[in-house]
Amino acid sequence: MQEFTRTIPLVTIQGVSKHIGNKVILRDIGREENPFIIYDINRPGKVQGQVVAVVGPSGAGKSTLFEMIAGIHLPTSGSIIIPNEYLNDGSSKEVEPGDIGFVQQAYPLSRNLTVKQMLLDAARQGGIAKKDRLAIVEAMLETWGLIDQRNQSANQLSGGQRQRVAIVEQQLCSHHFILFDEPFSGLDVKNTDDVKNSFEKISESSDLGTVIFSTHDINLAAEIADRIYVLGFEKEKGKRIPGGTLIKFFDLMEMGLAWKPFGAPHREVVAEIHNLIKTC
Amino acid sequence: MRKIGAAQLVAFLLAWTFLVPQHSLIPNLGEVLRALSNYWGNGLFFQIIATLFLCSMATLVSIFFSSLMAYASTIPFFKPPVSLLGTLRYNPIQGFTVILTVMTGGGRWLQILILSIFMSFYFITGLVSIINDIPEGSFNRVRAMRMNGWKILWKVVIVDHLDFLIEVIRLNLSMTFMMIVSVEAMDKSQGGLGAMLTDTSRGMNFPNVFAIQAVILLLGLVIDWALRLLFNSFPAHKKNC
Repeated sequence: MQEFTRTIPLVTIQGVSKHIGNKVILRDIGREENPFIIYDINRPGKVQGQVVAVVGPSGAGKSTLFEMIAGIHLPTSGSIIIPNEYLNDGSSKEVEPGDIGFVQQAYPLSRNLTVKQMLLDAARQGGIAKKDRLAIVEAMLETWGLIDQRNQSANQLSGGQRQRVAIVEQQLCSHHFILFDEPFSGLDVKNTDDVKNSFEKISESSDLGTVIFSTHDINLAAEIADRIYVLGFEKEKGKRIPGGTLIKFFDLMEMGLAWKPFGAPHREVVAEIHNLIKTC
Repeated sequence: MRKIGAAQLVAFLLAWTFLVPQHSLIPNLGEVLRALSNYWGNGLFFQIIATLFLCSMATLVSIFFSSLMAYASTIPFFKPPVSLLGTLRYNPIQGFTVILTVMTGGGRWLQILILSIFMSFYFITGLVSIINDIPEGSFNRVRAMRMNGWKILWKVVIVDHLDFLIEVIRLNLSMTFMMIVSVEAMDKSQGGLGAMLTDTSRGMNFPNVFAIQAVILLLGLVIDWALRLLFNSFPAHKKNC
């Protein structure tokens, strides 16, 4: 029995470039020869979404790409397409702010609201009916171990608590699709495990539960992702072409490495990615 | 350190009471307190209320105007004129009092207008600085939560930084108090501590002058303390026990 099947495309990036002034930040992401399409994956007998990693050297444009996928900034050219959940008729649309949750590296939160107030705000923004908001927020606080922090403000929270609040906020707004910009940066072992558990919670919340994260830790990416996209710089006649682009894509599901314990085959993938990044 | 400060204050007050001779150029504490008691019996409370009313009205008007300007400065078209308004804090307003008197007909509205204009130049600078320091991540977060421009303005710029607004008011309070004396002196019929101080200074009644100065100082310190309390009551300044 096949371990998985691909169904609908959840995110399609088509020829996306980003320029700021004269500077090329991203160049032609999602070309025909190197498509960037995240499909919904179905695994028989399992409620599971997908976890996608984006890796690459500093300056390759990972954060910029994430801001465009989240609809916060528009691409200079190209488009980012997602299913139209409002119409729910199989049609698609260009991504707009709020369609996809975005957890940023510094986990910015409201300065002058309590955790509960922030999450009630997020529930309102997510279109949750007023009569259901409090119950849903209380349930999320319980699920994410934040019940004791509900009346605290952002500056009273630990780093891990701030991250969980940021995740729940985005979940309440965008439901099942969340981007994480460098979520493992500067974390110790325990906190890294907490983040991995968060990813599991989101991806197992529904078949559409999708996590896309960026990281410099290739081992971690190979350990937990179903697919890895490598951003980097192409070269022409030995000279670097300005603007990060998608240089290679590793489908760990096709390779039989997804959802398996980290082993020698994963290390080979890691080594190949390291080489790609070093030479670009 | 508080104990040291308190002890130094007590020592100073004792020295002022017992070491400064009576009827000298600088009145001793006893003379000042007697003058204060005299003033209190002659309606000092209402003069304090008049000054507080002027200060509050001018603060409200200038905060409203300055906030509008500061928020407008996020739009590129309005950035240069708002920056120009901020630089006008170096320009004394006394030169324009005749024009403003003709415009308003004098009285309380003249005082409120002059003080509001003066305070606005300071507030604009402080508020623009607060807005410019808001990290882009804060805006990205709420954009990803589907908030539109007006909601972002309310949630991120206003609600999330209300404590900073209180702090801008508090830090500029001393300048405000300095101006109040001049402004109240322009129309003494409206009363206030500034009007009292101007009259008393001319009479060279130094215990009375010191008494009024002490009241103005105390008033400023009480308002400063209240604003600091308000600032620390915001969730952003709560600490874990």
